[in-house]
Amino acid sequence: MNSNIKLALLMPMIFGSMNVMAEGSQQHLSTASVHSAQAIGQTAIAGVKIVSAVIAVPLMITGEIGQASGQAGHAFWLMANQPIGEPLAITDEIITSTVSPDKAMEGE
Amino acid sequence: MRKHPYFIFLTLLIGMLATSLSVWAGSQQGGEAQFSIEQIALLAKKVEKTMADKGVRVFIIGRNGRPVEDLPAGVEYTHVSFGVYSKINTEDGRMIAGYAFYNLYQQQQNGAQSKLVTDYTLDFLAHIYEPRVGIIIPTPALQKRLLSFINTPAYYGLHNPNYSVMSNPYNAIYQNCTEYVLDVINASIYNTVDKAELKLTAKEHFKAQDIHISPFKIMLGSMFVSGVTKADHKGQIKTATYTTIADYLDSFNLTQEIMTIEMESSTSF
Repeated sequence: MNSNIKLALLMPMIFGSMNVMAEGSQQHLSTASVHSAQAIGQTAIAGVKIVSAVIAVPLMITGEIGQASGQAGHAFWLMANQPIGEPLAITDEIITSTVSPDKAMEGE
Repeated sequence: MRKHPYFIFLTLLIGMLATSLSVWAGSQQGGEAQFSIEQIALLAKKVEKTMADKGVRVFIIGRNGRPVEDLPAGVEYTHVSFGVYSKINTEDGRMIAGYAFYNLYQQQQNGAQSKLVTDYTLDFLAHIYEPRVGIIIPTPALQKRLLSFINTPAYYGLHNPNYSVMSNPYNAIYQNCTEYVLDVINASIYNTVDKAELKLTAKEHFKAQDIHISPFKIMLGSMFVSGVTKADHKGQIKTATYTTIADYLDSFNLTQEIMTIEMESSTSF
């Protein structure tokens, strides 16, 4: 077989391998992905509500709870200040960074 | 007629390169889904509940976007980031408690550049290839340091947008997701964001993974695939991985637990 053709046949394997490595840090869920299209078209997965997140702030142990106030603010203050290692409260909802179609169209 | 084989070669080469490079296109982001969204959601909640039950504020997580057998020897997971217990504001105006993930992701349009992205467990796991994640739980003292550092201007200041999939963790020329995680860990441990100091610390204490790929493959990859270069290496290619970060923290008694969480066969919560 001509060596050039051999090389040509080898190229997909070479670049395939490089792409496997380079895939490493790619974002998985975006507006273009299959699961994203499924997720934002649904309001629940197996009966569990999907909720879009706007922003997240690490819950600091300093006691500072930002601008939160009232009952919710107090609950977060308690969660923030319990010692590391004690069980934490967590939502049962499924959180995603993708935005639902109606929210994406808001303001139009 | 003598040019005919070269014409075939050129045609095949261009076709293959186009196919290869199209992997970077946004429309193919994440590749073919291996698991249903229900299975992914189930794993996501299992990860969150396991961490919450253990009272974990910050953990390091590895996930795999490709078949294990396709990865270079010594590389177990293709992406590593931080999970952080957070107050999350939702689209419908509520505040809920959950885990947010702090990632360095390679850009879709230009693979030689990266961006910092915060997402959530479902997003993070959406296109995993293997039904498991690796988790490193740092000691409470290190969790506290990381919690104080992640999402601050200093945290964002450690980002180097010049991306290389096999970036050298011992210098600051390029950065990939694992090197960024290592830099953030060391910045938290040593209370410094001085990049020269962080690289010196890495050289002294962190043992990177040797990556064995043929020079020919590297040469062609660096010519045609964005985000592949060995320009920051002299001699043996070495890079940070989930496993080497776990070994590093464990060797200095900075881990509380290292664990694997597997996807359940069931598809109901």
